[in-house]
Amino acid sequence: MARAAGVAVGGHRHAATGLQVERRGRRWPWARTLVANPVAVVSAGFLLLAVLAAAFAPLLVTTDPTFLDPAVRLQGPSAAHPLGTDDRGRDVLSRVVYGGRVSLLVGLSVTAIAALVGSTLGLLSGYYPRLDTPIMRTLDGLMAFPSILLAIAIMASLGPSTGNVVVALVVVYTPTIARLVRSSTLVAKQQAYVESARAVGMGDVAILLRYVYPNGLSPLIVQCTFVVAFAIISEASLSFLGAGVDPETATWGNMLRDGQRILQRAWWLSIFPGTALVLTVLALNLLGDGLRDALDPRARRR
Amino acid sequence: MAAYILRRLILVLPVILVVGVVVFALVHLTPGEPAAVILGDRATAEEIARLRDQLGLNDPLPVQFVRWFGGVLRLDFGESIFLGESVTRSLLGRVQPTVLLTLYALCFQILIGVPAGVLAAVRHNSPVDRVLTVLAISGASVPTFFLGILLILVFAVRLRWLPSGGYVPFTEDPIAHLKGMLLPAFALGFSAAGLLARLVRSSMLDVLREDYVRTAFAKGLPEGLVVVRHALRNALIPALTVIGTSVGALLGGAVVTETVFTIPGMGRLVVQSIARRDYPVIQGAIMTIAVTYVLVNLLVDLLYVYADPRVRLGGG
Amino acid sequence: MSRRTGKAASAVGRGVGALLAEWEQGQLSRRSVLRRAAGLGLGVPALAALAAHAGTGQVSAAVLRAAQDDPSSGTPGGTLRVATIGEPPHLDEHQSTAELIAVLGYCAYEGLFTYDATYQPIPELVETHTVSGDGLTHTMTLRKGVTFHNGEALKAADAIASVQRWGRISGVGKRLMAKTRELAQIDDATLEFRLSEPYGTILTALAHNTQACTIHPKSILDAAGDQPITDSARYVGTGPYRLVEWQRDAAMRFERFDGYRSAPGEAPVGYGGKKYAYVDRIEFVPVPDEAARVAGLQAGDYHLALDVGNDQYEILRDAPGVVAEILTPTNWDVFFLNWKAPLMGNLAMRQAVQAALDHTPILQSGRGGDEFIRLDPGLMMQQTPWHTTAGQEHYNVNDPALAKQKLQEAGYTGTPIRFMTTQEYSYMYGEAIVAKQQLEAAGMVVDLQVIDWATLLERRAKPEEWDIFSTGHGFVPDPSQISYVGQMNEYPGWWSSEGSLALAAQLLAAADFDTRKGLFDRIQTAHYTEIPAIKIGDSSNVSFRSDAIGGWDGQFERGIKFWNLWLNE
Repeated sequence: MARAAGVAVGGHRHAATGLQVERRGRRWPWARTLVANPVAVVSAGFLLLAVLAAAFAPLLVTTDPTFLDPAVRLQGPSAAHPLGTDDRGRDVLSRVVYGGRVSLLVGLSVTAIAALVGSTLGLLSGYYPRLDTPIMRTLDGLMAFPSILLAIAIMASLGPSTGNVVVALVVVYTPTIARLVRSSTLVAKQQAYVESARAVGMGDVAILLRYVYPNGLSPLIVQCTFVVAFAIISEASLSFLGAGVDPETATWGNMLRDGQRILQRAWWLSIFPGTALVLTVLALNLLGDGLRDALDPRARRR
Repeated sequence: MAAYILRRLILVLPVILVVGVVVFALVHLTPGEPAAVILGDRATAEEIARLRDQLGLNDPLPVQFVRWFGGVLRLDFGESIFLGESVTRSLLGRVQPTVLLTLYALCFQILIGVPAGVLAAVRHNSPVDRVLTVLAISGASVPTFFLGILLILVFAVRLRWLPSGGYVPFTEDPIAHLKGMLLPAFALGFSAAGLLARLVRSSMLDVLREDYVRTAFAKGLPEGLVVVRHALRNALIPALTVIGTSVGALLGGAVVTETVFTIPGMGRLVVQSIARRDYPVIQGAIMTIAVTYVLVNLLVDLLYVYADPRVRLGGG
Repeated sequence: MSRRTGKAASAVGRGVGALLAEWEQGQLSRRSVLRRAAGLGLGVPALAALAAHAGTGQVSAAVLRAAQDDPSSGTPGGTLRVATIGEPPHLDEHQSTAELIAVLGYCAYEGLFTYDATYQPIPELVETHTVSGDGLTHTMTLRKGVTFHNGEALKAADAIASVQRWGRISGVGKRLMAKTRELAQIDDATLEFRLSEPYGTILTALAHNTQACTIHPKSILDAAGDQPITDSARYVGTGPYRLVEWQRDAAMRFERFDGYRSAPGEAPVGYGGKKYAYVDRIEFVPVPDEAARVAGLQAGDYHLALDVGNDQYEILRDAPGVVAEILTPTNWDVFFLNWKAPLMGNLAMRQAVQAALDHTPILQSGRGGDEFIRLDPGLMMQQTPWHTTAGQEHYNVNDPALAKQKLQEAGYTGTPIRFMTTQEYSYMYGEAIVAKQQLEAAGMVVDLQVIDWATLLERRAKPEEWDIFSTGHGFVPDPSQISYVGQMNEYPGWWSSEGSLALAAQLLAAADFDTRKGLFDRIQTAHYTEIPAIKIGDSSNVSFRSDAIGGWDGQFERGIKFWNLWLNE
């Protein structure tokens, strides 16, 4: 849902400024700004921890997230089960940690693929006027759907599985990225050095990759941070609706769906995965915000 | 201006066509034979053949598409497989809750987002601004369904002030209707409010730097008056576009919110129809919501032309 | 005393048992049938005596409640609101065993026969019934003055058209019609079944109330053909309530049928007898979300919430205005082992499975807290005189070391054990996943196949497709009605030892209670040594309803007799 808004707030107008930073040859000015922003640093730290926890989940939690122990079902937080147990007696802490794995994996792979596909489409569309209309009209059509609805629709056809969630969300988030890359491509194309590169007979692919694309990278990086966040929310929403990851897999969305049935009796089934979800997305959004401030001098002035 | 409007209207057509192709493709994206998928494991070959016939799946795809899209243009989405009635009829019965939920959520979005954005801009770089900024980002970080669950836990389960779900039509009992819609509309509007607040803030900052606002301050007019009378009006024009895109986000979010609060709207129908493998209903509902969204954006664009003299002059 | 009750029960047994056999052949809501049969153990004077005789001393709360709520003392008026699990796929009683369709059907439809409180068939739309000496000709005269909701008078032609349609579609009906040479109309009010051979369960078949032989106007059946009835205008019966509106995904609204003509007599008799129709209207509201059904019951939006899990008991127990009544255990949960497939055809493998399982967590996972489960080896419930602990040393063995030893004996090499279960009944799934974990801990490889219930029923009939499946068994008053005792060698799993088959045959033939009890004890012992199935344990359900409901007799958990309920509001 925040797809369009991400563009509105973090969108195309930064293309030119990204260029300036690059041309002046000051390589990491934005890094200094970012490090000076405590909120962004804390967010980045949290995300690093989350990624580490997901990567090393088996070392972090020794309880198998699928181990059933009905004798201790629906118990609140305790020493043995710090976040309590679910209705099958599974350990909620371990499910939250393993659920983070799925969320981060989905978020990152959706973003990586969407960035790749979106960048390609954006470059083609921006650089070759003949391709512009067909590509952009198609993407406009995709953007005419409220994003979560498009994802639901695709999942309705493909059926629930992690792979299908990634496919659906790539379709949803590719147009945003393509639009962004297209607008920075349009700007870069007009630059004198691109003209001269063409004049000396440089190939289109080389020009695109060496001169055009890098100029749009800063806003793209910012946008990608937001896409990770939105993809994580969307995955959770899809799973919550029963149209996401296989219902038996421990994911935050699945846990929230299962927990809702007995919300009155066992609040911990909903609160803990929900909190993990909110914190992760919040950290991504704050980091993205900090990145934008750092990469976009105009925004920094504010 | 007329030329602009015309151009804008013409641009809508390919978008709707693409939307149609995507929605049409839904049935054909299913792994395997669509009729068999719809009927499930136990279907016999004859039943599958009958449904294929009923859905017209034996014709070439372009023929199917033209027939289906022709129906859509006449608001005919075919027959629901599960509900045994026309999809249009099913949708009509569920439009009201969804539309009202979206409108109420939009009210919350504006009522929260605009004042917060203005305040943050006026108190620019103050602690108030920073807190509001973090709050706005937090709002956008809480999935509506989780916020909905939290609200239910507090206001329905613990305090028992408001119902945990369900829907009462306005005409039946206005008070119960509003009480029932309060939590879902807030859950839905709150996260959208964060984005609106951020936009209002930045456009407000731009406007506050404009000469005429400075002049107004210089004339010694009270701050509140300047902000509301001079700055806000102009700052809200860009916000209008965000409200347009918000309607899309809210319509999409309504799908999830209706499920959390068991509101019998179009979104819930979509989710239920997925389990029922009732593809004509899924297609009809999604087509309707997407086209509504396109039209709302068109309307907002046109309003924008009307509201922003620069566009008006440039276009005319 | 014991002899008399034994005889009575066995008479019921022969009727219901054979019928149960038929549901077992691939039809959806056997569970609901068995649940209703479960009512036999509760609140029925005859079987209350039985229970007392069994020496358990249990008199269920439902019995007491029934005594307090005299069915003739209700107050008319009001709208009864019921939260259901969802929309029925259609409205056709003949077409489906779906529980919801049956529940709705109780309001609007009646059959030629119905069940009394002990599951004996009694006439409903029929006034007189005579059987020829050779048992081949059943003549039935319909009650006079009965009209359908559409104003048409009930005639023999309607009954014949209904029976014939049901006989073309439902499994029970097909079997009856296979033995029916001719179904003749004698006059406007009289029909005659002419059978090719005696069919002892004809009345039970006609009385049964899931995928029931409901009586519809011929005019409507002619229009509908054999397609499922989905149009609410065609939902026309003779019952005490008529459907006035079906708003999809919102509500089904029934109103009292003013032209209703009840069976003679002043007292309700099981599903039949006098029907009072106290409430003016009944609304069935689809609320697919369990949490929402619970919240609605708490808020007073609904008087009854169907399909609410035991996990909600802790919340609803203390909720003001809500009655949460744990029913006496009536169901038992069971895993069947496939004797016809190579793996479980081996006794040592079956012993390994028996030894590997720890029943308590399995039941906890399926049925919730300890108040809802009971460990008991008896295949007949404690409230019957048949209950025995024979073979209990092989019940709930929980000895993984023994299991491993048996696996070695069996020469098990890690072939995946195909374990079928379904999520449609969450207890089956909950029990299967825990059992899987336990079997795996004992060294077996389990391929858990989660499929829909209808598919499971289809596949379990094919010996080559499975090794274990999980299911439940409802209350039966006579051991011959236990699915795999009454139909030994036919019921999926195919228990077929010579000794047990002989015992089962004698059990069916014998009339004397003590003799039969002795036979049954030996059958249960054989059950635990030959291992056709693993009985996991007994379980209770909870009835969740508003305390405003009067006239609840708790006899039939799902088979709610809406016409005798009233609202104290």
